[in-house]
Amino acid sequence: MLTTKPNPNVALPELEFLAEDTLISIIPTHRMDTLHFISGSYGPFKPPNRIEVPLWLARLLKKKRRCHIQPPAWLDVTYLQRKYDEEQRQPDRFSGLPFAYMEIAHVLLECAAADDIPQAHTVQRLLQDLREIRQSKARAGLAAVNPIYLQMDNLSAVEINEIRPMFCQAFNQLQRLESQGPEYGGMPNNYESSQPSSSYQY
Amino acid sequence: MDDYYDIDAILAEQQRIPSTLLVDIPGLGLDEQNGGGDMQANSTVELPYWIAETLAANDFIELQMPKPFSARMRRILQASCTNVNFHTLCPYFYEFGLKLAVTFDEPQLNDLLAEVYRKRLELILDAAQRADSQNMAEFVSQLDESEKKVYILAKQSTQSIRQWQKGQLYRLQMADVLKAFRGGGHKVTHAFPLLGSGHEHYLY
Repeated sequence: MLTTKPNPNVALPELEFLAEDTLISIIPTHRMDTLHFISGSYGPFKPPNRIEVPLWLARLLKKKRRCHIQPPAWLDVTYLQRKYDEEQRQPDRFSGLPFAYMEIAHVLLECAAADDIPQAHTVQRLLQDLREIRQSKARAGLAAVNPIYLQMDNLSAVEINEIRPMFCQAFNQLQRLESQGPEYGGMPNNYESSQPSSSYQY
Repeated sequence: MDDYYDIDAILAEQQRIPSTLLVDIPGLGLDEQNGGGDMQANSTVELPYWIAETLAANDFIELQMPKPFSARMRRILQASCTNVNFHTLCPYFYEFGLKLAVTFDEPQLNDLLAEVYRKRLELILDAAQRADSQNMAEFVSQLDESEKKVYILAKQSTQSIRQWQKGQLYRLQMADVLKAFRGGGHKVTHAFPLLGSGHEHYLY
């Protein structure tokens, strides 16, 4: 089936798909032999022993009630609260979170919120708070755009994906506006004579 | 460089520019005042930029700075560009401004354009993240066309994240080809019949 994308960027379900390669520990509830996939072999599964599998496999096993998921250390109320405080303390910096934290949290909260994640509702609320505070920071960072570069450390995949389309648009436009050389705003007959970066100074 | 087929660049060139005739033009006085007579030298007409540019280059007319870029308007923009309605002022403000900066050889116009763009960008991004689209319609209607583009892009990406979080965005599906493959009783799927959806891509 062909899926239509809302915009030409990497779509969120695609990001989610990529993030599902992250390894995560599970505790199987059934004894199973090793499972062989192209991406690797996982198992054998022996019930009380925890084992690391990719998130997509954990999600499937969870759906079939064949495992308990051990949420990663950062998907935790105290940790997230600390990150949130950190975000508030530093209005111009992003705190370090896993690159795919939004996707992983999304998948885990969807499939394992009920039993494996302690205080799932609080976790969800904290994630939302984090997202909002980081979103407004990203916006402030974008508004400070200049035609040379933009630096925002610790931005996660979804967040980069969010600002990419408008950033590209705004950045290109700003570069056209500020450059005074003939190659940008100029007339076509000047085209051959000008080198792309001749009138450009960093 | 403008793309030849860029509709915005074409429309930006349609913006009118006041021009003073340097020569008499016989028989082209088509407005009411001189009812079909000659166009006198030193009379002022508003011509689209695309023709005015060529006429000026051949010394038939002299160009004047159009109103949206007059000294007065520039002072207003410097004071508070965020309150200006660009749609009524000039819907292709930046595109047209860029062309004028070259035509009149005024690099300071570039600086003004960039500054105005940057200041208004903050407002646009702010507006795009707000949820109430009702009140936003008026705001959007006052934007320049290139600003509208940024607004729509920002709006789309914020919206799609919201949908994704609610699980309303589409899901990746297995390709039909692979489904057929799987139905054929491939070894790997037999080894693990509990697989449901999604990551079967990995199996083949």
